Amino acid sequence: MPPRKFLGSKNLAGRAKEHSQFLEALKLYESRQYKKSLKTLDTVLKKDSLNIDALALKGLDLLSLGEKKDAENYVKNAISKIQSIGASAICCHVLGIYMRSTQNYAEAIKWFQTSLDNGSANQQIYRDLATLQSQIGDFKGALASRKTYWESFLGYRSNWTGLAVAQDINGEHEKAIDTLSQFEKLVEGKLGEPELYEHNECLMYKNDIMFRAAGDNKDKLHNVLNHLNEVEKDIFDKYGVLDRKAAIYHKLGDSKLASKYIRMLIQRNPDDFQFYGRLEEALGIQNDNEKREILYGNLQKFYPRSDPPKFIPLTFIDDKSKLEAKFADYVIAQLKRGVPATFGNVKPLYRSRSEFVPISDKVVNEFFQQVDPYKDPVSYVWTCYYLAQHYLYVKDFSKAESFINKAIESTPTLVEFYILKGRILKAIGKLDEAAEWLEEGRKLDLQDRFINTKTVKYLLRANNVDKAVETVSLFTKNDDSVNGVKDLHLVEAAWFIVEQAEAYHRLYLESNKRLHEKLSAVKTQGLVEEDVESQLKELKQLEWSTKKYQGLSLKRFQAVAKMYRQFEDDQLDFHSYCMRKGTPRAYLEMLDWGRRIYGNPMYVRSMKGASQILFQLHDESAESKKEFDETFNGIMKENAKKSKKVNSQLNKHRDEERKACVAYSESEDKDVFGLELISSQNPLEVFWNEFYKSYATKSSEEARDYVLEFEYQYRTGKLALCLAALNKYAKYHGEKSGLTGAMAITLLLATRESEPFEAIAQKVAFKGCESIKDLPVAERDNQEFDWCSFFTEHYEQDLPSLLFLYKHEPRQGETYKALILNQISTVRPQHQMQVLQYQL
Amino acid sequence: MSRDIVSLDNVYANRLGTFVKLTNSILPVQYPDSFFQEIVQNKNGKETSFAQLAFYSEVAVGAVKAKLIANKKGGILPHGMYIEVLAVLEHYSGKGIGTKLLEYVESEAKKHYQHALYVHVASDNVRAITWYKKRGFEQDGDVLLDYYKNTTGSANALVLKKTF
Repeated sequence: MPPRKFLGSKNLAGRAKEHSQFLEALKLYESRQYKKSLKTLDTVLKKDSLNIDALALKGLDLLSLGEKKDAENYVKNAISKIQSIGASAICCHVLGIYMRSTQNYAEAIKWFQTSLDNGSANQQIYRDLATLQSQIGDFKGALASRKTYWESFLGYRSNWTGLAVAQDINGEHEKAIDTLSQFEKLVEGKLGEPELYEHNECLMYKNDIMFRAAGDNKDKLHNVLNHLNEVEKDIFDKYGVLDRKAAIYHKLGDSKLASKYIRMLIQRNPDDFQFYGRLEEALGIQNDNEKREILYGNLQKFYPRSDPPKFIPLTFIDDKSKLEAKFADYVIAQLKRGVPATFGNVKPLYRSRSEFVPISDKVVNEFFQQVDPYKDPVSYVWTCYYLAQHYLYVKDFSKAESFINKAIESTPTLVEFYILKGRILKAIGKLDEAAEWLEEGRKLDLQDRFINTKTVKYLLRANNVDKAVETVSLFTKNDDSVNGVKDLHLVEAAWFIVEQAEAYHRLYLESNKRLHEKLSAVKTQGLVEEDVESQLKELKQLEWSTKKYQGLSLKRFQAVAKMYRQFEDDQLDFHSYCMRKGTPRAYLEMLDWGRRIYGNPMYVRSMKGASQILFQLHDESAESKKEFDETFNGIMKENAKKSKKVNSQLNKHRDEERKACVAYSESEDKDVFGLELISSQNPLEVFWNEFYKSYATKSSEEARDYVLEFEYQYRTGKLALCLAALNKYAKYHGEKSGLTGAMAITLLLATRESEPFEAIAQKVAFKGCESIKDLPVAERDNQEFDWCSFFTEHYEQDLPSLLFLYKHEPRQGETYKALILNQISTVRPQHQMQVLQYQL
Repeated sequence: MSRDIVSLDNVYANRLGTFVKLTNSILPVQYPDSFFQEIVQNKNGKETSFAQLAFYSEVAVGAVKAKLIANKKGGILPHGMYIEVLAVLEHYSGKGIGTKLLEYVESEAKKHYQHALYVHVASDNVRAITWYKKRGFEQDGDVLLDYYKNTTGSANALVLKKTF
């Protein structure tokens, strides 16, 4: 902790010269002459090696020169001395800047605060403080800082806006409105052309706050409306005004005016679905299908080229023959025009109303019968394309394939057909063939980035990483690298990195399996005399690939997580920028986005991928690892001479391999293969720090993955937290859900004495288990009890829950395996293969 | 729409694959890779080879490749423009696409002061022969026996010629 009080330099007089030298160095720092600044500081430190100011500034200079390690040492040195001597305001400020530059925002806040407490007269610190407090989510603190800063500099709009935003975030709506109004009065009549935009944004922002604060209070809503009418002429966002008016009238219950404004919105953009729903609500007819039909009939006449009026009736009409006719109108018109996305347009209907599947089958097949490919080839091929997608959806793969073949035969130059052909093959599990078809399509137009990207994805799914990298590199900057991997990291191409991570993981699983098979074969049968060298080579190669793929996989998953941390950090500049530019509405949207980034599917996917690797590393017992090493090294030792020869052969390629995997510049990252990452002594800690912490602390309660939470806490040994995760999961997914049961059984069995958990944790968890409905806690210690039957009788068995139990309950593993095999017989061959190859 | 539903465009290097795909899927003859590379490799700066893709409703459905032939050394081939490939996908025939491609070749020939077009057609390809004859071509000389090497169709060919 930094001291609260400035103790001052005891012999200031004696150090006056040094102090002025320090100030000189500070100036040099400010003008970015870091090397000169360092030189000056060194003369100070020569005379007075305890000069904390100089130590701290030297740290900052070094950091600016990119010497992170040295910088850290100097700063640490300075801080340790402060404990006893105390620090000047300037020194604290310098340390604060250092902490901010190293992304240590909480510390930076502390030092800035101390600098102010120690008598710094530099009011700018408050602005920096507000920025940092906003970044770490301390909005209360930010409000105080903004206010102080505002008091010192009343002449800037950004300070008023900043204050109002801070008040708004803290729920002080009235005060925020007041702040904005006061400023409006101050500038009345003095606004120049360039300020009009920010002024309009702030006016609308004020209306936003008023609207939010009004709730359903009618008087207040009238006020909001009056305000809106007053400022309407100055507001640029005409769409926003209409939107707001519609919302206010709707809340006031004035359906006539509400619908009037919504209709104006529809007129502006008749393709936006949300307006139609709001129109129904405003008219109060959302439950009256007859009226809805009439409404959409009229809207269709008004907007004949728009999709929503035609599409929405399909979601609610009940009468079967009418529905079929409407559907036919909708689909056939598009097929006649040859709209590629026709199936994509109706797919939501397949999902929400399964009765459409047979209707579509009938309608489109009938249409297909009468299309003449010679007369209307465009319509013909796109209908084939539609039907191929339809049959893929209903899992009739051979029909799907025959239709897509028809399309390709007719018009082999349309790339969409190759993509769909690939998709169908992928669904059947023919991943290599699928990638080949994508490649075939890619050749049609080499500058089509979309098909390039798709091909890369399919190649990665087929575990063909080298070809994928080669292909993707056609579109990347490869200036200082042999391929595009580095560039793809730089441009944050998460889609590629995550697919590559998953491909590496699959390759790891495969080579690991082969390695163990080979090793145990050698162990039992010994090496074949005449072929020792090639066998040693195979073993070594496998051992290396296993390590490499596992490391690379984790490394890539980590890269995605890094990107999201960067996204979070990127917000920093906007806490002041948005105030200066007068865009508080966009700012609030950004904050909202920032709160949700760790729940983003891409982040979650990477985190879960990483969890598989790290949990496995944790689960691998030290014994089995030792046993493996002993056998492996034993074999190598026995054939030391040949082994050495093989080594040098393999090492030749190492450097090339390394070059192909480089993701960051070498100065920043030496662990190209991620080998350090996987050799961590504490994989759970890596998981927490690199992936789980941000997710666990920053994603919303409903969105969180409680199975992952369970798996994590189970391994940390915190059974009470497992129980909490289980309860949460049951709350959101139901008590009968398969995973609820799987977790309950796993937890209960973890409380047995034989299990290596802490006794107190076991007791707490057992108590919790007692209150789980139907769970036969009394059978816990019964070695013969059939938990599998209990599970299938009481819970909805599904694939995830069976896999969960298969992994956690090896005693009945075979029984679960049988159930899993039964379960996957109904899923796509692609998923079947995945489970068989990588999960069992 | 005022725009014509059929349009022609150059064969750019990136789209060479489309040209190859069309030729290989329409014609029974298999051409070597070098044949296609000629299109994008402009030898010694002189324009002697011409190729276009035809689009129907913005989908590539037809292709043409032709070259100027000189007769400096008194070879078998006379002066003029020789059509190496002229092909349209089956489902898109009868829509004026081939005609447009032929017009292109003819205009290029005229630009280069040539007044004759030549083309080889497999002797059993009645449809093509009729098609060319309808557009002013006439048989030139006798049937060439075993002209095509890598083909699934007839190996014999005739030469058709049009002068203007």
